[in-house]
Amino acid sequence: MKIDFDYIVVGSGAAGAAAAWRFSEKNASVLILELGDYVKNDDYPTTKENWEQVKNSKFNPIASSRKGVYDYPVDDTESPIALCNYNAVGGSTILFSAHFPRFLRKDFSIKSDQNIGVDWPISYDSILPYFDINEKEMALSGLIGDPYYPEIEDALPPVPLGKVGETLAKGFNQLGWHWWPSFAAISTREKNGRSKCINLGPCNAGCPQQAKSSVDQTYLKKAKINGVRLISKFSVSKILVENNIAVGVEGFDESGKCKIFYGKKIVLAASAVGTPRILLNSKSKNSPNGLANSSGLVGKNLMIHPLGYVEGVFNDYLESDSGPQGCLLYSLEHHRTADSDHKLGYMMHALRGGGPVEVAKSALAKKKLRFGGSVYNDFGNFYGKQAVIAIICEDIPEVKNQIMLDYECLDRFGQPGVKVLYQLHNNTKKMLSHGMNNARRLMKEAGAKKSYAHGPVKNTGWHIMGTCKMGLNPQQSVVDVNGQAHDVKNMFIVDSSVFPTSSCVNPANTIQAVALYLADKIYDL
Amino acid sequence: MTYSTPEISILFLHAMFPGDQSKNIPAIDLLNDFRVKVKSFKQINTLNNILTDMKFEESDQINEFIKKAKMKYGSVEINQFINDCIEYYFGHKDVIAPLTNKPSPLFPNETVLDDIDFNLLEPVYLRDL
Repeated sequence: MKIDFDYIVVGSGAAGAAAAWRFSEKNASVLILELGDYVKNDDYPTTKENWEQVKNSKFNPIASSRKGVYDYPVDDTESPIALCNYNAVGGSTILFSAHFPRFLRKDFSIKSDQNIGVDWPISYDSILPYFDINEKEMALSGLIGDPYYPEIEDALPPVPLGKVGETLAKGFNQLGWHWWPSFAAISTREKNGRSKCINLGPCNAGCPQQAKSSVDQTYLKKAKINGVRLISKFSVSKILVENNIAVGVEGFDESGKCKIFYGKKIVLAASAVGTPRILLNSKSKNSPNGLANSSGLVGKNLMIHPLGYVEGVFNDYLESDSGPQGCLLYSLEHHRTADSDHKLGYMMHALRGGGPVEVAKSALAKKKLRFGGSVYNDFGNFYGKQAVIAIICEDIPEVKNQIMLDYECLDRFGQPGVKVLYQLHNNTKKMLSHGMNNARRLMKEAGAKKSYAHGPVKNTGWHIMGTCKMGLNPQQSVVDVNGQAHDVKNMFIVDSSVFPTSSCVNPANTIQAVALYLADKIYDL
Repeated sequence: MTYSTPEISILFLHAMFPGDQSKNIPAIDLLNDFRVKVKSFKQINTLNNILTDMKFEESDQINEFIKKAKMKYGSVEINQFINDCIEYYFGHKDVIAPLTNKPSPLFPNETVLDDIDFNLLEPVYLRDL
């Protein structure tokens, strides 16, 4: 058997790109296989006149709606929350909002602290140095000094609050609640050849300015300079195993030709949906339930971060149509709430308003958009005058919440799609209600003339975690503390599949810090 | 007066989005690509049939008419049509510019926002968390 590479990394998103770069810094030979294609600058919606239509079609983050040529089928009809992702070089970071907080120290020990979920088998302190590395590579912006994040010591200047942020901040202050300007993976100043943010607004439509740190602009550029080879439009269908040792991957190139690549170490980073899909599809006589699945936990313990939205509408124009939509300010006041009937807690994540089409549709849904001569004033009552507080709930790992293979919906190569089974935990329902009530208090205090609350919000399943849990016990987890599958030598997982619990903050920064940490562990094995 | 297809749907769309001269916002039927785009609206034929059947008139109150149409024909197809109308009209550069003062496309036009007033953070920083 010919060994082609030291490392084969499956997936070029947040985790895969970070891990591949880390391997390449140690002069290893690395191949990245990516399901999707490169996104060119002039592909991005905000370079088009009808940018919201493009955003809602080709760049639609909802996997079950987008149905792009490089997507595998996703059936989320049995989940109140739709899975969001993007298959491209750079993965879902192409469309992420770039809100970039760290998981908190307490998030690693919820079993010990609150007797719910599990503790992480690795310590927070062991990840800390990798947060620093990651934030440097991802051009972290933000304000040093948040009492919740005493370890953060370096960042570019924060994204501007604008009038909308200041209005909300005053509301938080009146209630005596914590808030802080967002940490963002956005270059707010020209540095290291990166352009600065120009406040276009919809970062979640991709960033033609290249100020947002999607990993095609960060890790992948440096990895390629180090000699990493990246093959796009390649769909990995299964892991090849000999004598319980992973030796390579099999998949299909763009033309549908089946190809095999051999490597010394196989590293999966295809997301908490894509990674279990590949493992479950890699079943054999020795692994009839899928590869690395003797625990039966591959695809299980799916966590999605149920979200509630509370939208405040103000009398004055608040500039909420400008600036990074998903990066404004956050509050960890309710990260833990002693006087509530739920455990754990939620983050309040402030968002700016949407574009004209989104605003018009939102007003219509509230029965506040009349047609005829009134349509312009009705529209003007919302546009640039909205602020949203997203309640991001810490999810609880439950075995019944899972990703399964769907043999009735196949991809273009005849491989199974995925079906999502997910229900909200009772604790999450209580938390969501608590959060939305508090966000309405906040909106009132900030001066909103009206607020609207709903949750769980359907199209918000960005934060997908837990489907190949890390742990010490092979009967209760899929991978060990080095990311290596308990059942299969030389096969590793470095994406958010391995997260034992979910925190209540956006996971991208922690996904990458854990991927860098595991890359070093994998290298040392 | 009885209108034929597609004139009746154009009349209806004009009633929905009549423009606002004082703000230089054009009516939907005055947009340069209107006649091409309207053909691609998913339920345009259904709408034509409804308008013809209900004998839509220029003098009809548009919101009341839509309400009655939904009651008579159900809301699914009419809502799909309205959705397409909104995506087209509020996504058109000739509407966006006067309505929002934003350029279209957005890129590469910079918007400058004020720096943070750091005094706002004093109460947070002084709290003992």
